[in-house]
Parts: sequence; structure tokens; C-alpha cells
Amino acid sequence: MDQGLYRQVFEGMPGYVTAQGRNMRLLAANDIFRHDFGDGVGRYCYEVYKGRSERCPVCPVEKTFADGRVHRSEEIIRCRGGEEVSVIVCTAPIRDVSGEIVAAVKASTDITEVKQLQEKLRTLFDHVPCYISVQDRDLRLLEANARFKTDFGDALGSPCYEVYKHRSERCVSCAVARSFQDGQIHQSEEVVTTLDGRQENVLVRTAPIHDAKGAITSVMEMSTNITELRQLQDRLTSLGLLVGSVSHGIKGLLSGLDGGIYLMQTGFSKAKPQRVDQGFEIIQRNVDRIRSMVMNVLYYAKDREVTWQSIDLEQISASVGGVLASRAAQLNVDLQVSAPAGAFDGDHNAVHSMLVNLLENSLDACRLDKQKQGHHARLEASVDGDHVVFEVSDNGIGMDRATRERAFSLFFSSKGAEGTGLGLFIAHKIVVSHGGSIAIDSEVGEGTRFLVRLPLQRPAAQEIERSGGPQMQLDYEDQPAT
Amino acid sequence: MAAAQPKLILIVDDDPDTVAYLSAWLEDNGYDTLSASDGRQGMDAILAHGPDLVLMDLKMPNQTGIELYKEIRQQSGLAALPVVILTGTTEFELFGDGCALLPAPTARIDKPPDLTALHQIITRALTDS
Repeated sequence: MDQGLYRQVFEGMPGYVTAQGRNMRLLAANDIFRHDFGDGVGRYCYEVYKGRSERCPVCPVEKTFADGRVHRSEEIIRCRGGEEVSVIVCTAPIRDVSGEIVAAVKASTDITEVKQLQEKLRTLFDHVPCYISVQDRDLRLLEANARFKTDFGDALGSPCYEVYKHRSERCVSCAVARSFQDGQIHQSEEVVTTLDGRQENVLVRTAPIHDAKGAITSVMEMSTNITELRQLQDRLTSLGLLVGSVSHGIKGLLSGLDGGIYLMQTGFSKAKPQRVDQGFEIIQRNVDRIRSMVMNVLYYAKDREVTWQSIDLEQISASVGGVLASRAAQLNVDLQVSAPAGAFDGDHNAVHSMLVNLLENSLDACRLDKQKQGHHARLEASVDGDHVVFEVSDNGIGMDRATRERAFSLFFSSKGAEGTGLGLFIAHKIVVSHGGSIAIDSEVGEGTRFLVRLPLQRPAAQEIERSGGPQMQLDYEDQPAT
Repeated sequence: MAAAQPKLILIVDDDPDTVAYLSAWLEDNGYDTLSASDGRQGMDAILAHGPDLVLMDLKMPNQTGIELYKEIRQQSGLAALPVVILTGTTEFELFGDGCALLPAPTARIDKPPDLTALHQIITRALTDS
């Protein structure tokens, strides 16, 4: 090829082509370069390409001069008009007849459009409303989108099970591993833990990524957060259970009211005053039970705001005792209530309901106990430092460990006829909403003691939060008794 | 002619109000009654007093109505004892699970009971037995 043709090829190259000497000064430049950067021959390449006043820290031309090989790099250069262009740079040596490197040729190909597309895809990858990661065969994270990194940390290189589930071993069933195994798309539902400890339900889908030869090199995992959906499902399930539980309870109460009315009616017509009294007591008791059940349902159905007021300790204790006196007498349980003079802050109706629930539980525990001759239930209030303490105790049937652990679970009831599984759950919820605590001490055959501690004065909102929200444990296995 | 001895009905229910109600109503209708508050007490009462009919709830502490029913039907001499189930549970299938191989109870009536229907059931059961 003659020199003219060489020149033509050089000028017509579809990219920026320059030749430069060891001192980085441009020796020649092609047509496109001159068009975008001006005639820079004689000037330093870093000046012309990048507007710099000194050499670039990493320079492919310098490397080519040093080792005589071809070098590549990715750079951003700035045209005459100030416009930035992303380029892939390739440098090669030019030797003289003796083989000595006298210059280097530098060809820069504009990849701005490719970079823009890459950027666009990266933005989509980062902002897609789910967690995306790419994993290798050891389940190590090779890539993760921004949403993933925000919630689980920038943990590239760590195993997925460590990052997602804080586990030290692989999960038993792993959709990523299955995709590696059979090359298919797999799906699973998982519970993952975020950096700040939130538990989230995610729907996971995995798909293999193949290389040019069709071999699986990695697997992409896409996890959609379905926590709200699951919460809604749980809520609907619990509402269904509530309706069932309340219906059962109402049937029992209706029986009681029917019975009371029958006894009063026939007591009058047969002139049996004792029967009238008995009927009246039954009606009164069942009306109290309806009131208590309605309060529980209201407390369950809605997170009620606490209406803070000053509560007279003696008055509320006596009132709770009064509500349950007739029931205790009917069950032949010796009920004693004691409280010192004093007052504390709280929601009167809520605290009243909570104590009625606990004491009702004690009376039921006595009713169910067939071992002892005499039974007693106690409500004892006291003041301990800056807390009011309610101790509700009985010598009834007692609880085994399993019952004790599930006592505050929603819809758990070990009772026979009357358990709706709401009472102790609500009692716990009320105590927590007051920033207090509740503990159970119980032995089978011995009896049970509930210890409730409430702050004497209204606590700050954050202290109530610290005492923990009510444990929403649904107990699907034990349906409330009829 | 001497008056017929009143029939004895055993009420097994853990709710004292229900027991008070049914006892009074049955006695008003010419029956003698006795009561038990769980399945275990119920079985003791059956063996001790030999009632003519058992009216019982399904879910109770200690021994449930289902267990009691099983025991009654498996006890020689009690196979024909009329048993009426009075329950508030809507899941009567519960009963089937525990007693699949046993004959069905004499009758079943929901709580709160319709007294006319209950009276008919008891009269028929006692006549048939």
C-alpha cells in the first residue's frame, strides 16, 4: 500500500486517531479528531483530549511505550465545544526500521450511546420496585440493585443466606440452587430480615443467566415484598376467627339470658321468689358478660387511643369486685378485693376491662378445678415506688407451661364453655398501651397469679413504645370453646 | 294405680347458668334431673344413678362431650341410652371425627335451645327407648 493510501485510511478511520511521541505531544491527528478537538498537533495529548494541565495518572500510551504492547482503557474526553464523550481507547506502538518505538498510535471509539443505554438500564435495575440480585454457584452476591443495597446493605461477595436471612448455612430449599440445577425459573415465598431488623415476606423468582455457549454462569433472583398482603391476609383470617369466636360466645350468653328470663317468669307464675332471684342474678351476670365481651371486641377491632385520666385505686378495684361478686358466689369462690387509697393515671374503662378479664380468668380457673374443696380468688392492689401493682391470684386449676406460654395469644382458650380467646389477649394489649408489664406465675393444680405493673403517672409515648406492642399471636389450632 | 316414676335426665354442661335453666325447665315438665359439669363427672353420674336420658354439651374441660359419648357407647349396657347433644358449636363435624365408627347420637340441638323442639326430642327419645 502506498503512503497516500495509508494516509487515506488514517484520515477516514471512524473514530479519533492520533499519533503521539514519548513526550505525549501529538504528532498527527485524523480528520474526525481535528473536527471535534481542533488541530492539536504539537500540543500535549492530555491538554487536547481532556483539558488537563498534567499527565493522566493512568495512561495507556505510556504503557505502550513501556512494554511495546497494545493497551486498552475506558476514558471520558472533552471536545472543543465542552461536550463529554465516553470512549474506548486502544494504543499500539509504531516502530522504526530498527524496531525501536518512536511513536504510539491511539484510536478512541465513541461509546457515549452505549454508556447512556447502560446508565438507563442501571437506573431501571436500581429503581425497579423489588429486590434484584445476581448470584454465583456458591450463592454469593455478584450484583445487587440499589433497593436491595438500601435494605440489606452493600454486601457484594457475601452469601445470599447471610445477607437475606442472617443465617450461617444455606436454606433447606433454595430457588437459586434449583435454577442452577435445572436451568428453569423457580419461585418460593420467604421471610427475610432487613438491616434494621424488619421481617419482610417476599415472593422470590429465580432465572438462570447463560453465557454465549449456553452454560449457566449465574442466577438472577428477584424478590417482591408482599408483607402488606400477608398482613392483610392475617387480619382477614383473624377477623374470621373473631366472628366465629364471638358468635359462639353470644350463643352461650343468649342461653344464659333465656334461662334467666325463664326462671324469672316461672318464678313469678309459680310464686317461687327464690327462682325469681336466681333468674335475676343470671340475667345480671350475663349482661355483665355481654358488656365485657363487647369491650373486648372493641379493643380488639380498633387500636383505641388511651383516654388518660386520674383513676381512684380503691374505687376501680371495688367496682371490678362488684361486677364479679355474683359469679364468684354462684361458683362458690371466695372473692376478696383489697386496695389502698390513692390514684394513678390511665384509661378507666380500659383498666377496668383488663382487671375484669384477669379476675374472670381466675374464677374460671376455680370453676374448672375439681381437686380442691374450697376456692379463692384475690384482687390485691398496691403501690410500689412509681408503679401501681395489681395482683390477681387464685387457687384454681393452674396452667402448664404450654398454656402459660400461649395465655396471651389471640383466640387461645383452654376453657370449656366460655372461652372466646380474647380476654387475656386484650388484657395484655391494655397493659402495654399503658406502658406497663404483665407476668404470669402458675403451676398446674396449684393456681395462678397475674402480676400487672402500671406506671403511676402517664409515661412518655416513647416509653410506651419501648414496652412493646401487643404480641399478635394468632392461635389457629385451638378454636374457642362453645 | 301408682303414678309412674318420673324419668331421670342427666344434664352435662360446664356452664352453671345453663344447668340451672335446664334443670328448672325439665323439672317443670315432670322430669327428675341431676347434673355434672364435665365428661368425667358425667360418666360417674351415669354409672351411679342410671339416668334415662343424657342431655350434654360437646366442649367441656377435663373430658369433652365427645369423649363421654364415646365412652357411653362403648360401655356394655349403655348402648341404648338416649343421648341428646346440646351445643353452641357450629362445627358439628367435630363430633364425627371422634366417633366415626359409633352410631349417631339420638338428636342434636343448637344453643340457645328451642324449648318446644327440645321437649319433642326428649319425649320421643324416652318413648322409643
